[in-house]
This record gives sequence, C-alpha cells and structure tokens, in this order.
Amino acid sequence: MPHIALLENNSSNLKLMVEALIPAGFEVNGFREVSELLAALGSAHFDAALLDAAGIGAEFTDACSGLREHGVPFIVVVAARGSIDNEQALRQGSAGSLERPLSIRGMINVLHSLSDLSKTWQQSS
Amino acid sequence: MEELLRISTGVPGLDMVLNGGLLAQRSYLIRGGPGTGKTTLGLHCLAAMPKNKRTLFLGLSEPVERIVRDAQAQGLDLSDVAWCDLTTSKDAFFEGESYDIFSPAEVERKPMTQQIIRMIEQVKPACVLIDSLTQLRYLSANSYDFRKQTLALIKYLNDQGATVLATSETSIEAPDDDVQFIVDGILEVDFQHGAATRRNEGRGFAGRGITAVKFRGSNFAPGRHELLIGDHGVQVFPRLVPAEHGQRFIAETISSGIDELDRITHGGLHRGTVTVITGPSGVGKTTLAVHYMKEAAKRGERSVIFSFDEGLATLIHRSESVGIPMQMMLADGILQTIAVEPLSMSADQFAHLVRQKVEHEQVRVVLIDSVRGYGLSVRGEDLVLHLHALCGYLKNMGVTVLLNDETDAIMDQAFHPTSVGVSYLASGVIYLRYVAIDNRLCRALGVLKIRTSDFENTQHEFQITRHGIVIGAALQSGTHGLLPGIPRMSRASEQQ
Repeated sequence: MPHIALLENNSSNLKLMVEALIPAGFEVNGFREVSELLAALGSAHFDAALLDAAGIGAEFTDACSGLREHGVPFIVVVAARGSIDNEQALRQGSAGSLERPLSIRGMINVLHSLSDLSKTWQQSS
Repeated sequence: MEELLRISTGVPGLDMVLNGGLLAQRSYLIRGGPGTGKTTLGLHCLAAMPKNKRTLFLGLSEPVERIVRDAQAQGLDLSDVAWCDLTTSKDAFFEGESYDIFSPAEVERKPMTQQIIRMIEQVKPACVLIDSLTQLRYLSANSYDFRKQTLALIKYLNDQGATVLATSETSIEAPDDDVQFIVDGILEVDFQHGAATRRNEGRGFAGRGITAVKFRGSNFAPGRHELLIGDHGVQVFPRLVPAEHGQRFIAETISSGIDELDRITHGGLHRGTVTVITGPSGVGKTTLAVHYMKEAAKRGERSVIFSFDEGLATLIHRSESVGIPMQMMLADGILQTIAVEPLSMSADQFAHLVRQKVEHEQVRVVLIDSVRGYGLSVRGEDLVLHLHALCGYLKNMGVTVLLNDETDAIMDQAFHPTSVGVSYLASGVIYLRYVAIDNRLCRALGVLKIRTSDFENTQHEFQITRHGIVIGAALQSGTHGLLPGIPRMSRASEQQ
C-alpha cells in the first residue's frame, strides 16, 4: 500500500483529500505544518508526497528540500494566480504541479504514478 | 391513439390553461424570478396527487421545515409528501475553513446523488419536485456537465414512473436556456409592477402572472394568465377566450316591462346580445337596466349586477324608491348585486367571477355598471380588448348583457354616444340624455342602433317615477337640435 504524505494547512481540504485517497488504496499521513512533515520524514518512509503551496509561504522551500533529502518524490498543488507557480515548483525538485481545483481521479492517478516511480528507484538503488 | 394520463396541478385555473392538467411521467420546469411563487405552485401539484400515490420533495434551496410551515399556513395537505432536505447545514457557517481543493461537483454531487437515489427507491414517488434546479448547476463542472447530469436525473426519475417538476431561478447571471430544451413543459411565472397612473387612481398595481410557453404532447391556452397567491394558496385565472365557450339558446326578445320602450325597440332586447345604455351621470341608466332584471325575475331568470361605482345600499334604496322590489329579488336569490373593487380585482379575476355566475348559477342577464369602473380593473391594458372577450363569452352563452356607459357631457353641442369607443361591441345602443324644452330640463331616451331588429328612431321624454320609468310620446315634431340637447323649432313649424 503506497504511503503518502499530504501537506495541507486547510483542515477541510486535508479531510477531503484523506477521504478520497484511503478508499483508493493509499496509506495517508496528513500534516498542517511544514515542521510536522519534516519531523515525520525522519521517522517514517513515504512513497510520495503532495504539497498544497497555498498558505505555506516561505517554508515551502524547506518542505521541498526535506522531501528531496529523503528521496520522496512530490508534486505541488498551485493556484491559477498563486504566489508559487509551476516553474518555481519544478525548480524546487517537484515532479510537476496540479492546478486547483483538483480532480479527485487525477490526484489519485498522479500519486499512484509517483509511488510506482519511487518503488522503481528504491529497487534500482 | 392512446390518451396520455393527466394529473392535476392542484390549481383548477392552471389545469384549464393546460387543457386538463400535466401529462404524467413527463418533466416540467417552473421558472421565474424570486418571489414569483414557483415553489408554492410546485407544492400544489404534490398536494393534488391522489392519496394512494406518494410524492417527493427534493429541497436544495430553502430549508424544508420552513417550506412545510409556509405550505401548512396556506392549508396545503402535504401529509403524503416525503421530504428530502439537501440544503447546506447551518453548521457550514461555523466551520472555520471551507474547502477549495476540489470543485463542489467533485465533493458534493456524489453524496447528494446517492441520497436522491436512496429516497427514490424508498419512496417510489409518482411525482417529484426539485427545488431548485439552479442549485444543481453549482454542483456541475461546466454547462455541458450540468445539462448531461440534469438530463440523466430527469430520465432516471421518469423511468421510475415519476412526473418531474423542477423550479428554476431565472437570472442574467445563471440563464437556464439549456434546461428549457430538456424538459417537456415550461411554466413561466412573473411579477409585474405597473406604474401609478390617473387611470388606476395613482395607486399603481403589482401582480403575478403565469404563461405556459412549452407543453409537448398537449394543447394549452397561450398568453399570460393572472396568478394570485392568497391565504389559500395559488389561484390562476385563465384569460377568457370566447370561442371556447358556448351553449344553445333561443334568440328571442326579452322585455323591459315598459310597454313604450318595448315598442320603440320592436319587442325588447334580444337574448344573447350586448346593449350599451349610455348617458351622463344620474340620468337613469342603472334604473333602466334594472327594469330588464325585474322582468327577468318574473320569467324566473337570474340576473346579476356588477357594481363598480355605486354602493349597494344606495342602489337598493334607489331601486325600491322607483317601484323595483330589489330587496325581495335579492332575498329570493333571483338577483345578485356584487360590489366590485376594480383596483383589487383584475380583468381576468372578474371574468372568472362572471363565468362562475353564468356556468354554475345559470345567470341570464348581466349588468356591468359601469364600463368606466370596469376599465380600472384592466390596469393599463386594453379595455376594449378585455371587454370584447367578456362580452363575446357572454353572448356565446346566451346571456343578455347591459353595459352602463357614463358620458362626461351633461348637455353638449357634440353628441358622443359612448365614452371609450365600446359601441362596436354592442348590438344595441340606448342613449339617455338631458334636453332643455321650454326652459324645462327633461330626460330623453332614444335608440341609436339595434343590429338584430328594426327600431323606432325618435327621441322620447322619459321620467323616473315612484312606479318606475315612464316613457312618453316622441318629442315634439317640428323641432330640431334634439341630439345636441337644445331643441329649436324648425322654420316650417314657426311659420305655422
């Protein structure tokens, strides 16, 4: 079962994302603060991560570097007119970006692909 | 061809507009602006379903408990309705954060759809009211998605054997043109405001109306019909179409009970015709008309006076004082007097009242007193058009109509037989006027036209006595200028 880390500071969004991912066969840990995510990266293995750039602010870079250091592939949710765009996300090592509002099916597919990619890396290394 | 099953809308007037009611297992849109009565109208349909049929209300806009309370206040029996409240809970207001990661279509549509399916399977309704479809639009990703989802929902409900009614809020921001193509019928409700004018005595008016704009598989009465929401719910007053009504009657003359007048009119007025009695205020138009009713009473025929201008007490007192036993006629039920407040009764409502009297109470003589008063009830619309429809209907039904028409001038050089050009509606015109003869102000009566027979074309002095109207001989021959009201001796008469 792929293990997913979600960084989302809106509790309603986080609840909905967890409710969508668990029935789709994921094990999910949700975090509302970057510090919580960074702490969890030290103690658990994640196959992939999804970061909502909205509301994270300057700590966005810390979250991305933490994920990179632990070899967790991640994807960033951006807003059409948000402060963090697709290009910035890619520069921080993101595998790509999803523009909100997300499609639930699209989110599940992306996270499955990232998890598969992560497994392939682990096997090859 | 197999006849399609009709279901009542619960509003008799609307059933008439729809040629008997809605066609079962079809879909209908009730569209209109806020406060026009869309939900109330839909609830009437649910309440009208037979007791062995269940109905379902899917509430998406207004809390169900409020809708139930309002409906109960109007006396609607909705005990067989299953209620499904799909509105947002008030808790949403207290939630610190609302979601924005997914579209509402992704998050809310699925549970709502599941809830609807559960209710449909549980209730098995014969009729479903979706209030309103506009809310479903917000749960769709785009207009194509909305159309697809709506079409699927309606098809699902129809397949389950249900007639579907859906309300839709019309606005520029959210046009509902797409849904109009999907449904089998469209009822448009509106609320019109009219400006204060001299004609409506500066009060203005505001009124609801309903128009059937689409009804697949059925005929319907086109045009806007008056819709009223009162303490007892919705009433619709279909616009009168004379050609749709009629009954057999004998085209005989009816007497006024005044021998001289019957002689002048060659036997009286013809049944199923319209006669305008025209003249200035106080000249005796109503008194003359009531004579025809007195005679109708003797024949056992019912009459009704619709009084727009005069108080009933005054009318009764005045009639009694000229030998017309109005109290007795009223007590016997052979005559009815109805005071109509034109500013609170529209022309369509009035036509409905007249129809009730004719079709349910067999009234055979009708007096509209007066044309000017009736004109207030048409609220800025075309008076002649409404009067034409009403008189056409009454003629087809064999009712003898008397229209009192007050002319402004008491004595005038120019002779205006009617005030607003209604004479073309009438088969007959009897005019009453004042004339000055030998320094004496007299009342004169004459006949301008009777289409159905010949008539005497002389003017006669007439008097209102305590025994009724007395008509004298033709005014003195050898005078001219009688029509202007100031007769002079002709030269030939002077030489004699």
